[in-house]
Amino acid sequence: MQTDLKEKIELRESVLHDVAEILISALHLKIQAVDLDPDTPLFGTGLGLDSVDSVVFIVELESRFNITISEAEGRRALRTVNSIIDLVISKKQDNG
Amino acid sequence: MAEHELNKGYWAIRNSVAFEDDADLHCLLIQGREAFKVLDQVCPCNVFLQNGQMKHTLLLDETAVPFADVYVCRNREDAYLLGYWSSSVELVDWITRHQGALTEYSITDLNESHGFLTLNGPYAWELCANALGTAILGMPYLSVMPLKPGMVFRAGITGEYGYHLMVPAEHKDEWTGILTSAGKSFDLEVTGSADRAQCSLENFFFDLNREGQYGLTPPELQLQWRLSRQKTAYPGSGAMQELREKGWDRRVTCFITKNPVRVNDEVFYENDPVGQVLSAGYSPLRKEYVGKALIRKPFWHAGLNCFQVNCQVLETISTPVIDNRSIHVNFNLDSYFTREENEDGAV
Repeated sequence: MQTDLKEKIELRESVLHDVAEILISALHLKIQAVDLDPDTPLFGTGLGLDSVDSVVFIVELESRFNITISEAEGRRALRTVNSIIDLVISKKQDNG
Repeated sequence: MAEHELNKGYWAIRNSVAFEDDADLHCLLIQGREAFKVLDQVCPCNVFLQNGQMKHTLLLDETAVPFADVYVCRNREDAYLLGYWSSSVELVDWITRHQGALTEYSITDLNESHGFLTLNGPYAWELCANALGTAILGMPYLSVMPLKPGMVFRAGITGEYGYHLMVPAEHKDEWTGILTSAGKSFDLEVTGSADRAQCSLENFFFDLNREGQYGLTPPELQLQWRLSRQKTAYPGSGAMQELREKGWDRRVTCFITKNPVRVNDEVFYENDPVGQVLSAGYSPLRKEYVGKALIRKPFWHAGLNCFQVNCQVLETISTPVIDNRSIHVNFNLDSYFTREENEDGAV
């Protein structure tokens, strides 16, 4: 496997791990990290988060990854675990 | 012919409202003192719901492979099993075989007496409110409400507002007339299962007739959220337990590609096969093909554009693959008639 692909995969796995930790520790979801499939929906169905959870989730993501997420960015990205991972990776890349 | 003309039903689901006489949807009414207990016995999640709630889950065979894609619903003391499965007779027989000592319940197949009319689209709520009354506006996603006569289920598999109206068979034509007539001012289109299936694919909903045909388990299908980790005894629980201990090495992953692909086409990384296409369809909105492939570990992540299918580039992508207009439509502020001003609502 080429190095850049290996790095991309490792980055996604690491962000997924951290996002799972936030969901379990800050939002008290009764799941284990291995149960969290990356395309799981966050709201309504899926993990069943609500609007209060979304505020806590954004604050925790900003703190954990040292990024800032605007309201519009949050609204577009808060769909699935994977869409959050995309946002975090893109923000981290922007930050250099 | 313009693209909008070719895909009228699809665009109505995505931009206005689409009506479907939904022959694929099944519904069983389960009544009696032990109605929810028997559902608890067969479902892999907690089914003791509040009045008016629905929960999306799966029914699994002994090898933990889903054979029914269901919502458990509660209206007062009655339970409804709504969803997609192949035979209601077989499902009732399966429930009976797994009932254990629970006998104080009865099951009625409502498809014998009722029809299903489905509305999908970012303005389905507005049409429903006009045609059925403003009480519809108080229905959260995954809720059920009695309709006189019948029931309304707020669910859907397109990523847009969705309402399933279950009406007595003798009133179906009347309701079809009411909805399609009221829908004219919302640019309603009559649609079918193909448009619904394409929208469902773009929003990564599970389809029993596509990826459900490959004998895959919930973790491989990315459907673990439909199960409860706390629950340990249900049909298929032994196989799920074993799978969780052993782990799994492949996962259904969404992809996009510019060229047509067929089901069962192989996916390659460099010259090594790493997966297989399970479903695919052209997305008029993205102007490219969207699909699901079963990709093996560690290649099973989204955001990788290093794959080939039929010597063309295949890129894995996070779901949903579109920004649904319904997410941006707030029914306190927006209406179909003000949609042009609602710039955030543009898909």
